Amino acid sequence: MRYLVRRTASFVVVLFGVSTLSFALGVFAPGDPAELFLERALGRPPTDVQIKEQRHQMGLDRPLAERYLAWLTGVTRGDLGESWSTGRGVFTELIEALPHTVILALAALTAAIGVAVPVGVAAAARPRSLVDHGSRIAAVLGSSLPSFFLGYLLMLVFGVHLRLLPVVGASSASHLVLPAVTLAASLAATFTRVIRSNVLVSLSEEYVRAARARGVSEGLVLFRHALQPSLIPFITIVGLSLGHLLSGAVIVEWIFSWPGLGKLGVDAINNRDYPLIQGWVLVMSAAFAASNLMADLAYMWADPRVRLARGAEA
Amino acid sequence: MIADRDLSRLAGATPTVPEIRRESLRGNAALRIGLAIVIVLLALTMAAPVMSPYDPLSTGPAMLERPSLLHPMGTDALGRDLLTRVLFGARVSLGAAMMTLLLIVTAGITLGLLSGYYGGWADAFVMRLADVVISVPTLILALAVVGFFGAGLPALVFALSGVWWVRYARLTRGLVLTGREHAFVEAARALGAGDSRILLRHILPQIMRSVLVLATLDVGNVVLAVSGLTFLGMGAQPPTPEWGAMINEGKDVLFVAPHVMLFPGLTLSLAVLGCNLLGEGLADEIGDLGSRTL
Repeated sequence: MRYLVRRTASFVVVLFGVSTLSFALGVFAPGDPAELFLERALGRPPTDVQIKEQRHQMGLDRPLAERYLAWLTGVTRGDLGESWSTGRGVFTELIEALPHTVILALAALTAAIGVAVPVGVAAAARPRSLVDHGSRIAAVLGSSLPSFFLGYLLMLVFGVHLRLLPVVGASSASHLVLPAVTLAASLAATFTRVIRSNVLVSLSEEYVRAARARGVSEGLVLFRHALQPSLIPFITIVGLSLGHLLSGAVIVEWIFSWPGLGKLGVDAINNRDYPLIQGWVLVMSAAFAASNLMADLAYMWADPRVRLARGAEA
Repeated sequence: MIADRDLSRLAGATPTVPEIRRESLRGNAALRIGLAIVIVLLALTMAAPVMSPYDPLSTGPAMLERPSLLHPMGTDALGRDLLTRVLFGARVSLGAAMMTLLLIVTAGITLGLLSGYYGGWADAFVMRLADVVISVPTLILALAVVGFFGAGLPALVFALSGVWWVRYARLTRGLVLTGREHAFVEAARALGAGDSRILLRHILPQIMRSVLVLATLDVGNVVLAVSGLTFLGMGAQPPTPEWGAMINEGKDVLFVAPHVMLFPGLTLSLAVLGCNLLGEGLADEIGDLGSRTL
């Protein structure tokens, strides 16, 4: 229980740090935001009077400390200002895009684990076999192919030549396939190697020999006795790869016009939409921190040793 | 873009003995193949102006032409020779990546030394900054920095190094702290060596070796990050030939002339593959060396 509280407290500290960082980005950015805003709104260079008025309206003439406090208060209320390009609330924009990114990330994660577990176990069961070498080569290639190359390759093959899958957009479930596979490729490569090496170690343990001696079937030995203990360190790896997943989603969403947080952020940057970029950094980091928190909790729940040790501490 | 290989290293429980032997053999093979790829690519890059009769920027009448003897990789939408652009693109992509890595290593070591050696508020400041920077996914923070400071290759290099130094600084700081307790450092101190001498002559070489391992493992990732951000339009601007930018240009004609995207994409993948293999092979070698000398 105490662990839970401590872990949640550090989550809050991270959020505070990141909101300070995104505020600082706005302060240190070259150029006057008021001038930039007006130039966009008017379509021509604004006059000095207009700039002065706009600065006042945006609160830029107030002292830095006051602006910082106002920003922090806004953050706690979910008020991140208004987008310069749409005029809508930044928070609303981000919340609307969030589910798309969550769906894409979960689909990619499921696909990666779905491939990694059977292939990793098969490779560990017969080291130096065709499966083992094949999966190793695939893993090396998988982590070297840039997603923005792989994505277009898949588009060419499945969307154009085979005409099996839709290429861009998000109007049906089949639209999810190509972006999810693109995002899953490098994860699957990492996961397979991790499962393989952990299962290989488990296979040399006494309890595996004991199980085999008792006449337990090979399949059961592999997937129960050898795989299960490997899943605990695997949770940590999944947790560590979440940042990778979020970063990867930015490029993949942009390629496939998937209307998630990643595409929203790149569009915001291309539009120099300062408030939206600030809110974006904050929400992406919050998502990252939240998923790390969940991975930690899952680890705690999965490993009785950790669970009991930390339970006793409380 | 965070090193996948680092993750698998973290995860691998103690390897068995036959596993270790096989791993080191594979490491050497990886080193050889990676080195071959990187050397060939670098040689082609150097030779680009001599080899190619074309200018990477000059447009021509033959647009979106398929690969032929005249244009081995075909031409792009503006009639520019793709092979020439891919070769010149290597200079931009790999050059920017090397520059970024150099800045990352310099910033990381400097901040780590500062923090580990001076301690106190400098340590507190650098480490808290590191905590915040690491809590934003790398690519996302780099994108935001470019978003505020404007796109372009210099901005990109600056943004990436500004968000990538954390692991290097933490490693350096850790080594400074533990380095103080090594017997040879105590011996040097007993012999009357001053703080700066100990830091430069005894602790820094130790640090350089570990940082080098981390950096060699990161080369492929940095190349990917530079091209990825340029692909998104944050780095080198047209008409500069850069692999990420060329893939971006290729996507517009993907369905009529896929070769415009395929060739820069394949070259980039090959370069990343070479860097990854080389990095892994080198890291194994240096790592072994490190553990032998200690």
